[in-house]
Amino acid sequence: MNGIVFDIKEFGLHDGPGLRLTVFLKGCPLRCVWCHNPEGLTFGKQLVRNVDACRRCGLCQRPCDHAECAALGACVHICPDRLVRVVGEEYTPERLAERALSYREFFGDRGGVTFSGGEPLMQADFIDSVIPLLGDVRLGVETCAFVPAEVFDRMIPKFHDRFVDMKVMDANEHRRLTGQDNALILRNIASLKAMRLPFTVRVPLIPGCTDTPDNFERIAAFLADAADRVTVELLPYNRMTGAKYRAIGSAYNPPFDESKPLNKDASAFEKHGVPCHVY
Amino acid sequence: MYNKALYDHYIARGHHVHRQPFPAALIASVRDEKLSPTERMMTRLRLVFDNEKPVILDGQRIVFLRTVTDVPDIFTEDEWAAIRDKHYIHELGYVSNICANYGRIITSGLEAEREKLAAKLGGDLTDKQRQFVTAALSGIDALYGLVDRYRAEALRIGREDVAAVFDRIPRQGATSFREALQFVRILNYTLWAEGEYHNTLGRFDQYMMPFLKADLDAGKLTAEEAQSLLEEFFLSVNWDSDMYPGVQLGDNGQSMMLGGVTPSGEDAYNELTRMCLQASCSLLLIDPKINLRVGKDTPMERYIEGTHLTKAGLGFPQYSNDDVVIPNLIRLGYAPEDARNYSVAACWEFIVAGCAMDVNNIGALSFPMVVEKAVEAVLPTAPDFDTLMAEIKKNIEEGVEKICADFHDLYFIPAPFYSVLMDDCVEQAKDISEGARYNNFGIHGTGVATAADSLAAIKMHVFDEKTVTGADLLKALHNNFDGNEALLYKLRNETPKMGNNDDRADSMAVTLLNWFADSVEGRRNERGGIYRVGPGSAMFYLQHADELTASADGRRKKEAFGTNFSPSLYVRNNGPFSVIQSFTKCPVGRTINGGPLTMEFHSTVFDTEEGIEGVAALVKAYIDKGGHQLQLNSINRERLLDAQAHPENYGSLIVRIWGWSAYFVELEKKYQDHLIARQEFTNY
Ligand code: SF4
Ligand code: SF4
Repeated sequence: MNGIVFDIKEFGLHDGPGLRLTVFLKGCPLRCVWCHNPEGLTFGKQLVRNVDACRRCGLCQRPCDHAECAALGACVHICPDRLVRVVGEEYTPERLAERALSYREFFGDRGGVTFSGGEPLMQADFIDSVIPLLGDVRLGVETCAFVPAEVFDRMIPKFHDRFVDMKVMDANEHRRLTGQDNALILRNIASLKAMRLPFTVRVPLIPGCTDTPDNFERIAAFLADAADRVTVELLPYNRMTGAKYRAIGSAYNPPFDESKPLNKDASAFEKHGVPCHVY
Repeated sequence: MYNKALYDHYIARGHHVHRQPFPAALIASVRDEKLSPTERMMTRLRLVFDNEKPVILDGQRIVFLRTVTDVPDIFTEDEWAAIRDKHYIHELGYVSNICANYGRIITSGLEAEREKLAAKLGGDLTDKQRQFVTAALSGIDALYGLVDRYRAEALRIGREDVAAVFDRIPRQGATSFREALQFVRILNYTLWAEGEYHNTLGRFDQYMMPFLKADLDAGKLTAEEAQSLLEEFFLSVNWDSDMYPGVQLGDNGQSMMLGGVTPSGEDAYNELTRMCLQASCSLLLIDPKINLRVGKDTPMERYIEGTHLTKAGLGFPQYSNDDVVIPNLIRLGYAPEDARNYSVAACWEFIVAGCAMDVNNIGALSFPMVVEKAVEAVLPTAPDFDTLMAEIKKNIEEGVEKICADFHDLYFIPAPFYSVLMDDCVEQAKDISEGARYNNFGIHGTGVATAADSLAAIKMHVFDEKTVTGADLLKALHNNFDGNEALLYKLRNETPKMGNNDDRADSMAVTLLNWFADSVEGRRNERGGIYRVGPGSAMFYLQHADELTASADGRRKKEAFGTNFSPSLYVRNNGPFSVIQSFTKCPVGRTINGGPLTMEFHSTVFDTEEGIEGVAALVKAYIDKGGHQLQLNSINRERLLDAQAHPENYGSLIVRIWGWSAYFVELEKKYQDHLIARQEFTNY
């Protein structure tokens, strides 16, 4: 079973301890309005063009004889500034493992490989075939938890470092901001709690959306009974996000005020005894 | 910080008001036809010091300021042209880029040297030796004279503390940390005043530690007082640095080597090592340029301390790996004690204080030029890749042969005072300009990644896949790829590159460097030394690139190379692991003249403790994998672009160039643009 990868990041620092290789698997079931990985949302390969930087020289519009370009509507092997690209590369488990293992010396016993996305668990079968090839390398996962319960329960214990997103507790708000209901997510996190495995919950701080005192209170309350094995990280909104959308030729119109100062008051977590780091 | 007002005075360049030009009326006496070069050097130093005005700034404890500017050359233009006709002249002709034995002099004092010299005068000497000894004595006396005037000035303005330091030094050895700091300042100052340049500071934490330790143990200094004195010393080497010669302001060679092992092989890292890293962090000045020696036993905490300094954005520390450098210096013929005592020249060339008159940047081979010549000569007709490679091997050998043949009758302007600070010169009554225990010559090899990528491209497209003929490729290169964009794209973006851990490119670099090392094997220079090669570039990453047409890696005409030992400038590599993998495959031990792998990280990487630990772990990984030298920079492209647009807001912004750091806004635009073009690794 092959995987579709949209980026491989050497030296990812937010993806687990030590030196990390982060593998970004393409495709996500959510559509968060603030998503900072717009090139990772759809499941297949995808043509992107940086329209901002394009000089309209027309080279990529001329007919070419590359087989794959015909379907894409532009030649992806000619732009002098490399502004037209295909995002998404197919990897066999063997090829990904080989690349990861070539960095084995960097990982030591703290670092390792983290699967991120998109939503990596949407390609669970691919990950499943990679893991046995990685031997004793430490593994991490970053998931939005919106994946079938069976997949989540089966996959999550396979990783040593688990990062799970929580956005908003209110179901309607969740639907408005991510396009999906959060019942499945809460079910999966409850299941993770029941496994008694340590994990990290990441809350992206989106001004006026996720950073409300009420939302913090509800997340903290939900996690309180796992306070001995969960850590919460509040991650400030990345204001560079807009540039990423332009670089792939799409527009970014967040339905919130980007310049609004973030609420980083973590007292709700303190109150519930849940360890919390603010970045 | 020790004295904010003094620091601000420096930042505002307030001390420049004390400067005055060398009196024009005295120039003729420096260039008196009857005087030999040694005598002219002696005369000029005396006249400079006679005209120096003692200046002690408010609250300043480490004193000595250069006030005499526009010091004339010792030769007229015609005389110099005549010398150049007969001799090979290295750079400006003055002794440069070596390291004095500061430790010996500050411990025993100049009077000990004076006595040895005076005793020599009574014995059998050739005329030349007599001139040298006389000049060396005169230099010491000229310095005594200036010191005595500083002492008088200190007493006049009620600075008994300053006067008391000069009661002992420089005549006697230092007895306290402050005396020792002042002593080093005076000696370094005198080297610059004599006319030598790229005057490095050597293993400062080693030769200064006994003085610090004695004061701390005796309770004469607290740790904070010591730190504050140290920081003032660091500031002191910046006062005059804009007067020093270099390719650009900042290229002045005031390097300092920290850490490593002792001459007998013990761990040499000490309290002062840490204090120096701290001082550099808190002062944020371009001098001294900090280097840190590490090895496989270096604990992680030290890398983390180093990374905190990297975060400061000065381009310090530059790391070098004892496990690679020491055995290979021994292999080149350095005695084990000397090899373990290595330090660094102005940028990154490995030198030894006191006993080496190595000329480690005497020439440079352009690898991409070697490839270009071979491509022009044989590519259209070569039946196979090996034919091209054979031509390249021949070009390397011929290129090195030609560089070496250029060095005959090497002449350096005598340096009588500098000689006093070197080992054996006084004993042998011999000027350092004529050589020392080690007289090795170093040759840089520039643009290795551009050359390796070009060869990988030719092998793949012309010989393996045969998608373009050699003749057509050559035509495209001549046309700078005009009308051939698809080929350009393929070469530039879809072909193996060094820095991506791809053996198809990396193996080419391995071969080139091995042939480079082979080319000097067994070769001796006219001073009896050997030749050493290394992957450093100095300013040639721009100059050599300017001389080339487009290259087969998809580099367009005029595009620069990466600096030193780095991936091609335009290549966006997979990431830092791959870069380290690629560059540690190279035979860096065989090419140990110096020249670091250089990587840039976006400044935000250093914002968190995780980021600091991550970078430190990368450095450790590089060293553990056998990398020889590493230069890391924290840069921020958006800030650099803004600084180009609004230089007035960025007066204190410091950046690292190729082996030294500078104020960004003072650089020529081509150096600024090169920095902006480099790949910065991020963590998002
Ligand atoms: S879960 Fe992550 S990848 Fe998916 S849409 Fe949201 S922010 Fe983007
Ligand atoms: S080749 Fe590049 S610059 Fe030219 S039109 Fe296409 S995207 Fe724009």
